[in-house]
Amino acid sequence: MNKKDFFKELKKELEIRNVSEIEDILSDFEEHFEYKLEEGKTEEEITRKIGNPLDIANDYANHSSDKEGSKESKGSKINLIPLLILDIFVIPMYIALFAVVLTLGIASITFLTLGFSLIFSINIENLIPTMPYITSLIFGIGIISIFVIFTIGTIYMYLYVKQWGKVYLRWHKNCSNNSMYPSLSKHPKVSKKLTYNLKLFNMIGIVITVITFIIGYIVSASIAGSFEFWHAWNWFV
Amino acid sequence: MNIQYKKGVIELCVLSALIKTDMYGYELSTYISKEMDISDGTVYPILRKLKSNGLVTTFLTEVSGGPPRKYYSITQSGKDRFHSDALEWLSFTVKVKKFIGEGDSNE
Repeated sequence: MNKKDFFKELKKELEIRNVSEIEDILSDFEEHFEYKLEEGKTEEEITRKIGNPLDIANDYANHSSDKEGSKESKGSKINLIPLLILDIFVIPMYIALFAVVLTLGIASITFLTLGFSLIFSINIENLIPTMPYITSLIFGIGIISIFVIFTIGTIYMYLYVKQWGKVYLRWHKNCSNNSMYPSLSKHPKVSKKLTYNLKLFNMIGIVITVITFIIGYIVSASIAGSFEFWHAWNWFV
Repeated sequence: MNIQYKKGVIELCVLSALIKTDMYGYELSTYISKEMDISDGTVYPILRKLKSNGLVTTFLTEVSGGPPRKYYSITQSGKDRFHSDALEWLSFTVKVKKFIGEGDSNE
């Protein structure tokens, strides 16, 4: 490694670890290089014997948490307590997020069931109002496409909630260990193919939903001979 | 030799060097890394830690044909620390010697 690269690496590693007084540290090593160069050593020899910039930066970072004053050493423990208090709030919230995912999933299944019942004329507990089969079929298809949309929503929500969990855990680890793992993206890593498929199905779902409901309305209204076909068929009495 | 094992002891070595005389950073680095087989860059973070803990202090001296040189000097608490750590180290090595000695006699 040459001198320029060594200092570039060292500065970068020190900055990542939020070490203070970096300029001061670098000038110590500058001085070291000066003396060694005067002795006739080459930059390669010097960087070989000086050690790995990563290890050196770790030493500075670790030593700053080795402080003697009791305030300082208790400091790193006290930092843990607000973190745990935060956890107490975050964990139920996170469970709630999963509950949302579950709810979306259940809603999707409900739409699927309803759609099937409409298409195959399965009337469960007489909950479905009477309507001509054509209406039932068209709306059934519309509801199945709503099911598709909801399922995609559930999948996305699940992926995001899982990723947020990972982001929080990484941040938590960084705080409690004082180490510097890179922070994670807030978006889950989904393969391009999957994203494309999900978006495609979502689009198709939305289009079919709109079309079927419009056609369904037109067909039902003409059969019932009334703009409010649901009244003509006594749905809400 | 195990690097962690060495690092714990380097601080003691630095303090024992400074208790004899004040030295500047590079001087200390070469003095210790010559004997101890450690990377040249190990001593500097240790000096910073010792300074921030008040065990050593620094002062600048004018040097002909260059920027002022930063010398490290041991403080009273550094001296106290040196004495307690040196004692601890010596009694530690006596104990380890016992183990090693017993190992030898078993062979």
